[in-house]
Amino acid sequence: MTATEVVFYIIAFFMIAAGLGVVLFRNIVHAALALIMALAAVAGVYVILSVEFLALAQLVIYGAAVIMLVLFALMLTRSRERPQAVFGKNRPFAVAVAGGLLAAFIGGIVATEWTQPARDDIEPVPFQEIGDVLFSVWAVPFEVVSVVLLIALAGAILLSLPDDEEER
Amino acid sequence: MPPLENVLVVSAILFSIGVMGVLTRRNAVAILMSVELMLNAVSINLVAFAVYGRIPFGNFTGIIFAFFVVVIAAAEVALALGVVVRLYRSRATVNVDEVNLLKW
Amino acid sequence: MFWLEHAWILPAIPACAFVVLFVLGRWLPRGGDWVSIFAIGSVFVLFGFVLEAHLDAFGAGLGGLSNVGFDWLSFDGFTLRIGFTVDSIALVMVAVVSLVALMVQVYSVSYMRHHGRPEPRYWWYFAAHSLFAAAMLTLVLADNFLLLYIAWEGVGLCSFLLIGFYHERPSAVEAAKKAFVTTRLGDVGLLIGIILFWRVTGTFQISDVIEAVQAGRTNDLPQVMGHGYLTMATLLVFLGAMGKSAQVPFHVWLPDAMEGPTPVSALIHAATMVVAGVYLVARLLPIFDVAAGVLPVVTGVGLTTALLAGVLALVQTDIKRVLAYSTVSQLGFMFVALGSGAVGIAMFHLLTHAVFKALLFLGAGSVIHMTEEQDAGKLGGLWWRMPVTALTFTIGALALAGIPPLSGFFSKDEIFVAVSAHQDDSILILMGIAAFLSAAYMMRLVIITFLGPPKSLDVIRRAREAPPAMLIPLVILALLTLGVGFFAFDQVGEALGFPGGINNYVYFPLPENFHFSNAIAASTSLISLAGIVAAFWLFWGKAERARRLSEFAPRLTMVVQNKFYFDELYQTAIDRAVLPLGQAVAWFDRFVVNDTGVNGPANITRSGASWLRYHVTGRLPDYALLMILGIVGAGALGFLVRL
Repeated sequence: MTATEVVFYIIAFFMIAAGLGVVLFRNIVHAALALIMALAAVAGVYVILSVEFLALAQLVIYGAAVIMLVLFALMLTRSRERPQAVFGKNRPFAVAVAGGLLAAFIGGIVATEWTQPARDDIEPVPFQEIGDVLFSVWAVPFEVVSVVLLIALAGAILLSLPDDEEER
Repeated sequence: MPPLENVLVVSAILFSIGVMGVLTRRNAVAILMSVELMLNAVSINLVAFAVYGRIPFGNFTGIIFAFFVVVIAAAEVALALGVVVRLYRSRATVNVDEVNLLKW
Repeated sequence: MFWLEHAWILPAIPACAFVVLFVLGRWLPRGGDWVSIFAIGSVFVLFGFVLEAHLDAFGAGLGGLSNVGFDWLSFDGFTLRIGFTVDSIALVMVAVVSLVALMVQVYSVSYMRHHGRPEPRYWWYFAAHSLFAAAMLTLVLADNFLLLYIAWEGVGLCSFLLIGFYHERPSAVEAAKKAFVTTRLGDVGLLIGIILFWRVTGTFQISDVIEAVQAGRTNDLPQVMGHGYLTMATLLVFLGAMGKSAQVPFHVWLPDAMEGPTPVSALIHAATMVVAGVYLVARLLPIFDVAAGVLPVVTGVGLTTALLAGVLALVQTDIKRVLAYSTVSQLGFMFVALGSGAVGIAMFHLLTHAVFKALLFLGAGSVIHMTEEQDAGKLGGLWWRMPVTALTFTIGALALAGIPPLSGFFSKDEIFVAVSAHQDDSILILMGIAAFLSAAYMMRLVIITFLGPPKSLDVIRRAREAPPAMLIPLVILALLTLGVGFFAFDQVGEALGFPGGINNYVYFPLPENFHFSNAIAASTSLISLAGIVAAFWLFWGKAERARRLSEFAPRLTMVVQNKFYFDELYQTAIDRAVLPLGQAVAWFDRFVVNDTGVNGPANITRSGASWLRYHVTGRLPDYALLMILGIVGAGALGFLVRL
């Protein structure tokens, strides 16, 4: 077991723990904070998998922008009434279903014969190559995604506008 | 590097945790956060396959796809939060149990 | 040639008038009666052009048949053409329809008013008249069976509408219904007959069907076109003619149809619609000739009707019903003429009868309108009160009785000539009895209405001469009644521009020339005179002798007064057979077809949905849960399959 593997397992542990925190914390702000940790852990996994570019993007977009949006949404929608039940009535069943899904996944993974490449063959992915590919082969999808993003932002603004003319 | 199976198992665990969150939480924002967990689990999967299967050299598809997932997730969060704010304004709650107009 | 090719304009004008009146009639000044009268008047004028064009073609040796039309429906090897044909029979009918309709509509302007104010639905009355004119003209000009059938039902509809014009009166509603349903019994036969002809000839064109039948040609169905098949089809068509022309046993609707306004009776139930059956048989007579055993049936039905209705007309007390039965009887005369193969004579009698019967009805209408009474028991003594009406009415009555030289004499005489030439002597004798009866009942009507002593002071006090709008048509029709009979002479016909006389013109393929026979003319005149004398003898004064005669044979009197129990027979048939059958069908329809067949699947769907809808909770987490369950299920399935 190499040092990389050890680091991976530690990161994976934190990631799962933070994920459970997101799901289980009764206080929603705590859950949001746990989400930051989980996302950061995912960025760590990307680093382990030698995709530093993606790890940076993850940190910048998720860790900053998305979390900020979520926190804003939380602040905007704090219920003024008494706090309600955090979890739904069908929680045990939901947990069982999620467990079943996990069992199915792990069963599938274990049952499959993976063709493992030699570990030494795996190299870090250089930024420059990703950039080249992104702006040559994937240029059109990239542009489409940027337009989608723009439309989504405009739509979000439109959605959150007040109905009445006077309130604008 | 960890074996592929282990990465996949970790991502499966994270995905299942997200599913559990979607199914159990009642706050719409919390559900959104759980969805983010699921999306990240999927991204890990994509990246893992791309990196471990990157022979012959030059196959970046999975990585690019994960990158797009990140971008789309941002768009999705922006829209979903708009919907949540809207919902809150009209029903004074973000509890999905009370949003049940979608029925007979 | 223009008017031959554009004969469709004739029915189109009243049809347009109907549309205008139907849409705008309520708001037009004077209820739009001028629209309707202008339309029918222009038809009458245009008829002159058409006649002239046809006479030119006829003189040039063209058969006189001219078809113009357009393709209506066209599918796989079969094209349905709608067309109009102008021939001499049709032209006789157009003359009758346009003339009588014009007279009646002018008359109605005055008749349909009370003390100067139009009756309710005045506009609708004229709209229905226009529709009737359009349908009737289409009927007579149609060159194929389908258009003819449509128009045939169209005139039936107008008859229904106008009989039920006073639909506040339950009796009028009942009469309208009775007329519609009774004629429908015959119409079913007509439709089946048309379909049977189409099946063997493959065409609806009347001329083609006639040609095919005469040539014995068939459409790959030689074995079907046996004489039995042809006879059956022809008899079914004749059934339709019987229903429309109120022949026994379908005659029951016509007397009841007198519930309608009197001008309607004059137009539809005396001069035009009821003779549609005669017209149909006249047009199809080549087929009736070929079909074995049909012409004796036509003669038999006509003779029975003529005698039966003649007897019934003698005992009726309502003056309109007397006229109705006399119409039935005269239609019987026409069918006897047709049964003898004398188309031209039947059409001639149709023409004269249309004129004098319209005259009689309009005269009766004048009496009814001015005295507001139509029961013979209360009328009487009106001769000096309404001299013009009385005189014209008497002219019409004498024409019907067959007194020379009025028009009825010539046409009736012609029928006797045809019967003596083509039929058995016994039929001639029975026809003589029928002629005697018609003279008697007409004179009875004149006596009890005009000549006899007054029976009610109110009636006498109310009685005034009718206004000019009513008198002018009466006088015109009376003059025509006086003169139209002479048309039968070839010299008069030629002088009027008909090559070879009118009879030659009207039915040129088998010319039935005018045979004036002194012996027959003398005997029919004597029979008519005898009938008139008998009427005077029986009904003069207080009609003592008639009363004693009826007391002499009380049972027979009862049978006659109950109209030979035809209505009861129909009622029994309806009660015993039609209604139970209808109830059975209704039960089947309600419980089997509707509840099980139609509502059953709907109920299953609805109850299923009312249970299934509970899975739609509307709560998002439930949907998410179901989605995940689906994924898990699909994964488990895939796993199992791979194992």
